[in-house]
Amino acid sequence: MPNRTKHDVDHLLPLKPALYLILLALTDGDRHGYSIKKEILNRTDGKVKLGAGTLYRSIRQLVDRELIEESDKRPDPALDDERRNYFRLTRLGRRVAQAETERLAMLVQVARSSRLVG
Amino acid sequence: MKNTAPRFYRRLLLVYPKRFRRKYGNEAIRQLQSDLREARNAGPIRAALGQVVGVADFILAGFSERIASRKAAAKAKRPPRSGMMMISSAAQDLRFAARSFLRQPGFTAVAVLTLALGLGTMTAVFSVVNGVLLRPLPYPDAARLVRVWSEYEEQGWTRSAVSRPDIADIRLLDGVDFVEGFVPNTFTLPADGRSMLVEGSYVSGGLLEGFGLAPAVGRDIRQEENRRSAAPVVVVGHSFWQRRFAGDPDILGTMMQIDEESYEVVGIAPPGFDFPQGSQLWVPHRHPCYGSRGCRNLGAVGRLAPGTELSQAQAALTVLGTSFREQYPGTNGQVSFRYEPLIDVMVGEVRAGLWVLLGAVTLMLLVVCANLANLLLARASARRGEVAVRTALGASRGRLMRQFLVESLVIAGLGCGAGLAAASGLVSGFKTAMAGSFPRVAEVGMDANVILFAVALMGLVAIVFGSSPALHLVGQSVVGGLRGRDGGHAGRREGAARSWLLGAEVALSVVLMVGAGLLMRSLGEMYEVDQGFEHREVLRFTLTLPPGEYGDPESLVSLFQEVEATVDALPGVAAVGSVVGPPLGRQGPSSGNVDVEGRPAPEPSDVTFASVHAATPGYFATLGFQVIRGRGLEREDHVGGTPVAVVSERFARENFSEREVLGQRFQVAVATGFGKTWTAVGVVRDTRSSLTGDLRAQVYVPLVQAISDLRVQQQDLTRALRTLTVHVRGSASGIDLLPVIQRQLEAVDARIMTAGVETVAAAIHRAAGPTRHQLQLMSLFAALAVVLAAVGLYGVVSYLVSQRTREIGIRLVLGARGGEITGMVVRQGIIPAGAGIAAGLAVSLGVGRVLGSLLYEVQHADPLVFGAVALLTLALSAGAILIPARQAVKLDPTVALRLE
Repeated sequence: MPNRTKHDVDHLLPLKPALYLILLALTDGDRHGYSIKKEILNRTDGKVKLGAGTLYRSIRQLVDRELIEESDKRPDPALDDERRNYFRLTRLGRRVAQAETERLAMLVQVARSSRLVG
Repeated sequence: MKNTAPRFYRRLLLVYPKRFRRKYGNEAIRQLQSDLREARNAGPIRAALGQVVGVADFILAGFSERIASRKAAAKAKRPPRSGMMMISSAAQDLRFAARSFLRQPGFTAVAVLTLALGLGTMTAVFSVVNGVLLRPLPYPDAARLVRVWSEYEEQGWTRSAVSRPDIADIRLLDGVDFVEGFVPNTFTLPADGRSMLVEGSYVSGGLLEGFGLAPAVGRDIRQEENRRSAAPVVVVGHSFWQRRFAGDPDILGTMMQIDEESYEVVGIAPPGFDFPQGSQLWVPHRHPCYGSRGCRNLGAVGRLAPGTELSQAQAALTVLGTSFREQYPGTNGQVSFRYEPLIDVMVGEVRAGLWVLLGAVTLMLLVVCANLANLLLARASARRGEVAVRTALGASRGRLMRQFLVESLVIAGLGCGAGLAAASGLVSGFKTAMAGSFPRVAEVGMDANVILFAVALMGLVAIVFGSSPALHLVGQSVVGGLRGRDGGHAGRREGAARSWLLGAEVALSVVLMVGAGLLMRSLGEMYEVDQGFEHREVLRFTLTLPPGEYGDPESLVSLFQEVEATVDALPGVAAVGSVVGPPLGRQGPSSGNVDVEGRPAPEPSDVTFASVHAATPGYFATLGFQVIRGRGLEREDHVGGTPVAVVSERFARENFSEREVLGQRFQVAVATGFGKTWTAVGVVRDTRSSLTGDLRAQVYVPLVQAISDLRVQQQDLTRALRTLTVHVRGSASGIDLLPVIQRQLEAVDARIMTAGVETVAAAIHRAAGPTRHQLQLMSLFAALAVVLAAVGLYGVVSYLVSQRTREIGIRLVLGARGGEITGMVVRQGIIPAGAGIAAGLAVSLGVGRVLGSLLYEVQHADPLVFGAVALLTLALSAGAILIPARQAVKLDPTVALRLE
């Protein structure tokens, strides 16, 4: 993978919420589509439910932007459904997720100081 | 959607570009399927919504994906080479359509959603029609199955029971392979010290062979097992066997306790067989009067011989009936026999209603189409310039036509997809809501026929609403289009098309509303029928007694006396009384011939009938029966005394006309066996035994006296008392008393259970059920149609205003007053609306005839309904027209003129 500059990262921001959530879902390990959906559902207390179309469209976009990639690694094959594609974060993906988090945190900080939210 | 599902999903996937399909297609489909499965677990409406949202998300993401891939491709490639011709023009059309819809997401969403609504409800209604009416019954050669009825022409009874000897003779006729009799019954089985109720039937012989089926295990009941001396046997239903015995084949040969008797299990019915009416137990019919030709208490089912026409078989049956009338004038003097296809009997009650619903939903779909056509016309005029440019650049008419048709097909396809998802939600909702109260509900589903129907409908709809704007646009003048203004001619034509569409929409919704209105009036009339008794605040229930107890008349009577006394003592209870064969019961009361003492045997045509109801003394007071002459039933009427009876007015009129009734002695031969000679001591007002049925002659006798002879045969006692129903009148709402009553009953005997608890008002509600359901759905369709029509009207008038902004501006500058402008705009909308209302009302004169038997006591041209519908539609139309008309007046002339 060619070296990425800060410019490349900034160029990809801001991320759409669905893309951001998928990146977050992949931070602690490889997952397949259904598991990504579940993880997002869990992390958002059931508030964000990605439809099948949106989910795979987002995955396609992330793969094209090289933020995630298909992983060869498989858990125990006995437990696993072979037909499923697994995805993992790329280094760029991790950096973009971090950058997006910082950007959002900054925005929330501004919002807090304007006493809009606690 | 079971087996067609994968194909349906694969079609959906075609929205996506190839690259995406290849890489993520399978997974995305699996994900979609599991999403939809999850959504289905919610309530019916949320489930349907979940399905629509799921499918819509999938389709929209597909479109976005396609656009994205086009953009990417355009970026990557140099400007297209001449090899572009290789791209098939159909694909081009599709892409073009997708792009133009995405430019106008609002338009697309409205169009797809209204269409999904129309196609979805239509498909749902069709799948009910398909499952209930069109699909054959689930038996081999089901078309040959018939019911056999006795008919009493004098009384107008066309579906009466038959007797065993009649069945035995009919069975020998040419053209019929098999005839057996049955009596549906609720059996009591012991279960953990209490009793369990199981639906079943007494049968004159095994039914399975006649239905072309074989037992799953063991054998069927044999004819000779109906003899009183034969050992009692039972055939058990497959689902009951699975539920209660976990499908254990070893229960064959074991004994089963049913209604106080021991039955040997000899067979298990094949899966799914539950004739009649959900039966799960079949036992031989061994009624004491079964040898008598006059004892008509059996339903009969038969099977015509292969190749025999119903009319041929019927001819033989009619001849038999006629000869029996001479041969056995006493029992068959008024009786003739009739075959009726089994399916007609099962679904006859709902058939008319379902076809009417299908008609109603078709009208609604037409309104949807008209609305869509209007939307597309509006959009078409906005695209006049585009078409002109393309024509000028050399696009052929055919090419343009095809483009428009592809566009409407894409909309129809999306609408159809969403509609199918909605329909599957609606169908499962219908099945849950109607389980048990609608024939063949279990057989309703979205099979290949239904999907085919939906897709064909989609194509039709696309052509219907797509072709009019296409024809219209393609015919326009190129020069006018390029100038961005009407080529006058085309504008007028378009205006006329829209007016026609609007008029039709309004007319169709008027027809639907009149239908709903007539049904609403009928329902009102039904609830208003004087039942002859007071039903408010009356709660009723039957008692399920512990097995092996209260088997003789004395203990039974004393149990009921104790129960009534305990309940009567409760605060809030005004009166208690019990009766066998309550009014508006699930099973009608049994009737028999009346034989007046001292009167010579009547001519066959003069035989009179009456139903006999054994009641406790408090019954009349509880339901507010009015005693007109003599007295009611009293506590003093005991076993040792003279058997007395209180008769209904009609009974008195039919049997004694002018003569004094009181003191007359008579018998009534009913199957329940209350066969004493009764002395009339009183007359009560007539009451109805069904909601809108005829008044029939009724006889009320004291329960104590009625059952005192029944000790000999226990089975007869249980059967006679099957419908012994306790009625409780409360001072407040009857149903609130239930927990208190149940606690008191527990004190009397903890093993007694209440069953069939309902208020009498609820029974009336249930009896009005078919009309009520019809009304609900019809009102829904009518409401949707009228809203769609109003939206259409609003849309068209606003469009007209926007087209004439410049003109209105000029008029305003020239000094036209607001009222004149409003009037001008209103005229444009109100003329088609008014014409639509008038045409709709005219067509509606025929609606009453279509609704036919669903209407009760309502004129087909009910002035109230017609007036109300006319006013309502007029008011809605006026509203829909006035809003844009008033906006026209508020136009700022300077702004209006600066436009263009």
